[in-house]
Amino acid sequence: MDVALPMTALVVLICLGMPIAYALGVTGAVGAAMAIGWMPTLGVLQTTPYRTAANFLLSTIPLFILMAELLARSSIVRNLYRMCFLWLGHIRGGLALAAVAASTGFAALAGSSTAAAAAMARISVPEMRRYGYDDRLAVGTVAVAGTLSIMIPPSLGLIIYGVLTETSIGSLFMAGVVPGILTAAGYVTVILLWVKRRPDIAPAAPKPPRAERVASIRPVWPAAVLVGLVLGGIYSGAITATEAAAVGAMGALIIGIGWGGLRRSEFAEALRHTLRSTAMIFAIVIGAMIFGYYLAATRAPQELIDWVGTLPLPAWGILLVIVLIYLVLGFFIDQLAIVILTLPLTFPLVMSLGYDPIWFGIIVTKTTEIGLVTPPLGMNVFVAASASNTRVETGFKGVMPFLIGEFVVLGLLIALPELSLWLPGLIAY
Amino acid sequence: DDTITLRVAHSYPVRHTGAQAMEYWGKLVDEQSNGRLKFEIYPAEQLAKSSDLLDAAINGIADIAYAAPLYISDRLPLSTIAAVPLVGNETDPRAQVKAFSTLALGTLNEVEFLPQGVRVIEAAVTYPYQLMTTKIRIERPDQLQGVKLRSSGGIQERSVEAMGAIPVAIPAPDLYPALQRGTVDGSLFNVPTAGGYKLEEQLRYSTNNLNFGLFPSIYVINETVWQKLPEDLQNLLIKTGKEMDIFLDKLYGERAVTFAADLEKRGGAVYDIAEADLPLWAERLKPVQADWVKEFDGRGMPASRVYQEWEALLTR
Amino acid sequence: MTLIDRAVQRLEALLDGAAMLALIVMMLLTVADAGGRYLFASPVTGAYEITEFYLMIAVVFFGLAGTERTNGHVRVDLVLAMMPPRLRFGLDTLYLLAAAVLFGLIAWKAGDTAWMNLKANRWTGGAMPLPTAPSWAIVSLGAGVLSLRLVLRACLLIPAIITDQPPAAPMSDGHATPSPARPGR
Ligand code: NA
Ligand code: NA
Repeated sequence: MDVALPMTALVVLICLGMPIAYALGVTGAVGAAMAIGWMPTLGVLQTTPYRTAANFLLSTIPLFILMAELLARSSIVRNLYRMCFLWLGHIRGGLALAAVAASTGFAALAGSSTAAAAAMARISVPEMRRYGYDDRLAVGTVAVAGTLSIMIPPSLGLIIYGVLTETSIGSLFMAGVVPGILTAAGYVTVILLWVKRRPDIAPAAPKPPRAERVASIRPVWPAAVLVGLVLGGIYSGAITATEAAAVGAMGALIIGIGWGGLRRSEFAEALRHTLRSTAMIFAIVIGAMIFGYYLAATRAPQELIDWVGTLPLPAWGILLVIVLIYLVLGFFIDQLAIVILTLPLTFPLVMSLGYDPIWFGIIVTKTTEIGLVTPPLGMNVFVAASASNTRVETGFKGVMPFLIGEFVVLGLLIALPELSLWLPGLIAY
Repeated sequence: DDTITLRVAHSYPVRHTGAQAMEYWGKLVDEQSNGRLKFEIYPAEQLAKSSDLLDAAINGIADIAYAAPLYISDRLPLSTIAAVPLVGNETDPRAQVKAFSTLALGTLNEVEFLPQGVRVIEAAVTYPYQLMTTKIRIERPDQLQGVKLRSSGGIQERSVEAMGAIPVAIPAPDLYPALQRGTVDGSLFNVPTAGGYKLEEQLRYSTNNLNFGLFPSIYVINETVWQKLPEDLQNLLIKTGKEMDIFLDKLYGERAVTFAADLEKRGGAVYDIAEADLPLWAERLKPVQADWVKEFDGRGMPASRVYQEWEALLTR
Repeated sequence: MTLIDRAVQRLEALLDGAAMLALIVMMLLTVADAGGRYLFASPVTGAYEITEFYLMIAVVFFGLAGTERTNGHVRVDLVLAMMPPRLRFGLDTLYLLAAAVLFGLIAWKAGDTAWMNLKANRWTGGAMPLPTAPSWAIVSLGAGVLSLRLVLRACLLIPAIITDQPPAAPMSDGHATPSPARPGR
């Protein structure tokens, strides 16, 4: 059966600007009709959309997004940034460091990287501009640091990986902690080296009085409570990883209204944006599923795996090829679509090479983090730039120095699986 | 040439026992038909989600598909009979498989499958679901009051409730940590599958002689495809399917032995409920059986007939 | 044309409202289930199934059309932005119509399944049985309205191809802020 035609059509249509979800669905359906006939294809269209949505595990997607949207609209994140700002602002590059620190905190609260980038861009970029920071540093930092949200638990990326590969979501969450901290450390290193070479891009800010700094800690308590509620809830066994999303959203709502100045109109707005993001994500998942069934019917995936298996490469060589493919795809295609389209192929292959499923989840997530900020399609850069009224090109320029750090961290994670597996092994989650 | 190739779709991951069994079945078919009939196997939900595999066979996406009635109880309500707890007194797994095969290829085909355009060619059940716990050894149902048990929904959820325990829905891959963290105190599970999730590392006790239902596995073929097959190949499919059952039974038997040994190593046991206490369990679970019959009879299905036949097949 | 547009927009607003309600109920139900189980040893019977078969389906499918109207579906518009407007409108029209056919088929098959499940009186098998027909009907309605919205957008674009001018009335969503976040990954 001819795989080349629908495959080429898919790539061309995506490049020519067809919405990714539609491109996947349409080429998948036409391809399936060519491969197995029209009646069976109608059968695929009958069951696939329904079954994709009717999934209890995936209810975490809208609920974690809702949580992030609620947090981004209340003063919780603002207070978090303010604290980091007061404590770190006076160091050279300190406002950017504060953005990384606050993003790390936000990442422990919420699982959606674009929501993180949007919230932090609105809060911290104006602040950095006020002190004369270069836009490239400001927007680059915010875009990159936003991706921490999918590595540090809770994480939508890890949830989707867990659902697709039947890997324990709790263990994946645990495994993301150390790589997340390592990633944040990478960002800090890049910022420090960057401002050391170019002090002019980050003028020093005055050191606030000690009393003011100490006072800034108190308003952060709602954030701490929420982290305790969600992660504490999961790891104490009170709630399942799936339920944590609902508990987190509910907590964000209550704290937002009670202590975060969340208005009713903002609640409605959060709901609406959650709906938009959810529909957008699921449209892609549905399209990718239809395309996936077409691919499977051609047996191309199986043959590809068999072929890769015969390559005269050691296991790590094959793994590096796969990682490279993820990075290259990440330049052009939506991260979620990549994961859904490729995992059914790469996961069994990587498992057959004897690698750990949890560790591979972390590696895939790391490439996803990178893909979110690489041009030409770098969703986090788009979001950070638009939320701070900056040009997208400026954002991409600002991201470049961080990419070096990203690749170093990726290399470490690949070379030292213990970095990912140590914590889940220790707590045996 | 006159080689017939059938697209076979199932949901087991590639390295799962179920997937190995399918490979084995395909090999038997190829060999015994001298290459006239071949399976082209699509594992791991490649052609359809497990809940949609029945439709995949109906719609012609696949020729043969694995249908798990418990995942699609809305579509195969009568086939969930196997999951009804404590029916009959047969405890030998091989006899249970044989009984279900008889029911499925006969009555269930007639009342449930053929009207939907597919035909059962192979049917089996797993080892009976047992009560497995992390800390407490349960002897009588009243000890289960307020105990949190993972259930996979459907009839199992009703059984858990009938025993006074609290059903908790947890996806199988997350059951291990849920047991460890105490999100649940135990689970209804069957021995061969529990071993697959390494649950013996967290469990300590498992009953041996209860029967919280059996997990039915059914393979259906598109009826149009079936009618086009020559009769000798039709017979061959059914015969080789039964040979696959023997292959699986052997694997399950080995797993059951290691599972019991693992629990003992942890200071626990696979134990029998005392004969004298068995009626206590039967009494608790009677309403689940009665409800099953009443509910589907009420929807105009021949549930009484299926239940009586199943009970007769499972009574020594 | 604007009349039809307004009617569809009203329909979308209705579906949006239903989806938001479903989202809130999903949150409350899951919290009640987990909290009830942990604190009072009494979970909510059927919470899992209601979320899976009704609420998730509603949140996803009722939100589709509104997302299309507000250009919420991700695309790579790098090459598109460099094209002459007429070519761009032409391509967009093709995309919209192709997607309209796809979701039209999805709506039709889901509606068909809803009808069959209704006729066969199919229910889920848990401790709290639920009829399955309504959940398929939600898919059919959501996908159907999306298909309608796609056709409508295509119809509004066709004059633009001829006149080489962008379509007259940009269809607003009522709330002006551009989506700051397309969270997800
Ligand atoms: Na996170
Ligand atoms: Na990218």
